[in-house]
Amino acid sequence: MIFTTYWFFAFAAILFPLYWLLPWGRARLGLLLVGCAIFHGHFAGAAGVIPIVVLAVATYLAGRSGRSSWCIATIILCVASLGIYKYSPFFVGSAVGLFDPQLAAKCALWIRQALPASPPLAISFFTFEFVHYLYDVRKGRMRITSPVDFALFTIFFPSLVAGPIKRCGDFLPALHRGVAAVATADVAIGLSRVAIGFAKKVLISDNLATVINYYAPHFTQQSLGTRWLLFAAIAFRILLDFSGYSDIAIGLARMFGITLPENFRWPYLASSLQEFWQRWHISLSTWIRDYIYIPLGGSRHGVARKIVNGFIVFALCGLWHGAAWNFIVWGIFHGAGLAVCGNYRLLLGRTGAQIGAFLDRFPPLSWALTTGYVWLGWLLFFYPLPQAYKMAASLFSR
Amino acid sequence: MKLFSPIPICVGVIAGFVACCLLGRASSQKNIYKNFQRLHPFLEQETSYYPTASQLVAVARAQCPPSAGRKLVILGGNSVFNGSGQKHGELWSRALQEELGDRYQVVNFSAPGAGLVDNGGVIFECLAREYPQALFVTNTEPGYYPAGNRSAYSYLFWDAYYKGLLPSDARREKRLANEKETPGSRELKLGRRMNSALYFNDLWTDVSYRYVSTVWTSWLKERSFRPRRRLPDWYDKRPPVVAEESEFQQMLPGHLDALRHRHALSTERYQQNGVGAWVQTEESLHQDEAQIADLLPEPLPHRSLVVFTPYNPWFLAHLTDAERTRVELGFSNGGLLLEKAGYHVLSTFDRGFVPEDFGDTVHLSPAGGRRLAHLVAESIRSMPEPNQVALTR
Amino acid sequence: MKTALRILFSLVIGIVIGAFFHYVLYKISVSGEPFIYFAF
Repeated sequence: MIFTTYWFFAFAAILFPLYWLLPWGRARLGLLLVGCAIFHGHFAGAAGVIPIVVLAVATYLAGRSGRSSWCIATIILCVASLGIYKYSPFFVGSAVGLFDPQLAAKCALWIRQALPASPPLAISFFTFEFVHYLYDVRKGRMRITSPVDFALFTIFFPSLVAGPIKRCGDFLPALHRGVAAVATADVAIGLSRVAIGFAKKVLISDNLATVINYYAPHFTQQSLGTRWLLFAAIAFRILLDFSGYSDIAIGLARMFGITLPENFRWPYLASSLQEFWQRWHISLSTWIRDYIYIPLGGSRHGVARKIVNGFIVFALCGLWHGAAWNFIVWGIFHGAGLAVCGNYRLLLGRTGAQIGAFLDRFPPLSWALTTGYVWLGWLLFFYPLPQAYKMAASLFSR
Repeated sequence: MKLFSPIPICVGVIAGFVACCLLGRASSQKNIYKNFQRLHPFLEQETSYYPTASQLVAVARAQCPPSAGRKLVILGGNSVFNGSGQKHGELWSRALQEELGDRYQVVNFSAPGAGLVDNGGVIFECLAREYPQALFVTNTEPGYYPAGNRSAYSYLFWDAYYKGLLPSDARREKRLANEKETPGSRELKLGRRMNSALYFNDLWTDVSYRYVSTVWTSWLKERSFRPRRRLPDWYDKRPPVVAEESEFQQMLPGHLDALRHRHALSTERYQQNGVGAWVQTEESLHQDEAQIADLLPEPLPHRSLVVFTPYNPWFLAHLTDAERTRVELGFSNGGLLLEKAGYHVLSTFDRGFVPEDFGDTVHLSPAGGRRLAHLVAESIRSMPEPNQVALTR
Repeated sequence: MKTALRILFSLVIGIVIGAFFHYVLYKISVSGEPFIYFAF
């Protein structure tokens, strides 16, 4: 994890005091840009920086032009880059594998050897932010003219690696407010938030990860009680790790005087899947809603289309998390859950209404069903399908 | 923020951090390891516990105060010297202490998988000037001579290095400057450099030892969060070593295969000459010589005894003639190269070790430990008195 | 009185946070397998 490195602590120990001591907003802006560039260069390396610079320049120029065709072309370029860097071995391997598994393995290996050892750092987040920006430019909602502003929007280091996914309409005003004047309250709140994030990550989540990695291969051989404890541990590990990381990102930004949007709002308190996705990785779910679901038609074309759109959106959401079938299945799992959750009252008529009324009268039951469904989904997220199935089945057998 | 005031929070953050740095610095000077016997698994990195160089220096100072008039004998080396399999009451280094008597103080800093100058070698360097009569005794196998910054215990080397505890050595500085770094090694060095100013490893290792640990490990499981001082020597709860042929039979072929992969037997290091005799290659001889030159700075090799610990003759008998010849050659050549570099050498090849002295291919049973202690004590007593050290810092 | 308590409470919170950051520096060196969620 990038924030738990000595380099990062040394970097922050130098950057933050310099930032706070500079009396002029423009100087702070410049220092922040330099700091972000150093951060990105250090962790991404040349192989990671160059593609992002190319995409950023293309996006900036397309945005400056305001021309729809340029925006569309650059959106395609960004999505294609993500596809090539992150997904090409998977896509090619899966497609060819339908006919010739050995050839598929060879193709996937050849592609991996042709590409850098790992995709450019944070390419998933860059792509989403560039696509959002270009889409909004096309809709005439905004245009960034300052290259410094755009560069900072691109490589703002607190949210670079794991979000929250920024919207430039919110980020740029927050950036300018922050560099204009950093209050002591911002620093104090930011420090506290960073500490909370690290506590979630290093005190709890890392330990849970070690426990899970040790016991998961022998999951079905544990006692029933232990299996349920591990099941809960898996769910809390991802929540604390991811939300902890978001806390650190939000806290660091706040120490610059910059407010980032919240990314998690107690997601395991949700009593429906819709509510879960309003509380979990909020910046991702809103992005998917605004830039995939709504352009696909959303819920404007009837229930059937709404359900199909939901499946597409969540399959893509799953794929975004990783290039493997279990991520897609996890996405479809949530798409299916949302399809049922959002439409059973309508589709099941009187029975549906009765079920809905019953669940409304017993919120803990809704909560338990939602939590159980989400936690089962994590088995699909982390483990290959056969293993996930065995683990899930073993929760209900001696 | 209505419940809090931002300025006191910020002041408190700085005050809390600085206070911890000062506490860590104070802790680093104290001996926290009362009744220290050895670095058993609960006191070293197998269970995510990393004693610092300062802490181990404090142990040696506490066990052998300079004013006590005893000669400090620091042990380094790997799991063989660590007494892997021996319970702490059976530990070979206790037998060594008994053999040497009150004029000596043996402190065992060996650790599993360590190179010959790891841990104990680092602490010996730190204390060489303060204890001009101190001796360093370590073990290795022929062909394996990694420098102190090149193993899993390199963190301790860098800890001592950045704290300024090691004597300066121009040859070492040149070697370190020319060595290729990886992102991992850079991060490790940066961490230890920061620790030399902020003492976070010293403080929180102390807290882990005395009050509460915060890292779950599969070795400890539900005991992971107990203070390490409350955990007994891991080997004490293990079944006793069974030095019997029936046990060795069960270890075939895995252990024999592992033996064949050891440096001493590696076919890359040897070749057959014109008359079919096995000789070590020039390349591997040069490599060994270069590695040995990087081990300890002058004049410390003259105060150091390197022990080539034995292989179980039961397993040696299962090797081919060519393999046994390479083992013997390795012991012989290794000894010559080390002596050439100024080290004292004890080769245990053909020194009367029998299968009952072993728990597996290399690790010694309590009986084997006593035999080793006797041989090592003999060697130590026969080492000449070290001259006054001309070390710089 | 309220202000003094608020200041004291804030100072204590700050000290705890500062000590915790010191601890995090230690924890980095003893981390097991890091869970790198989203490096790319």
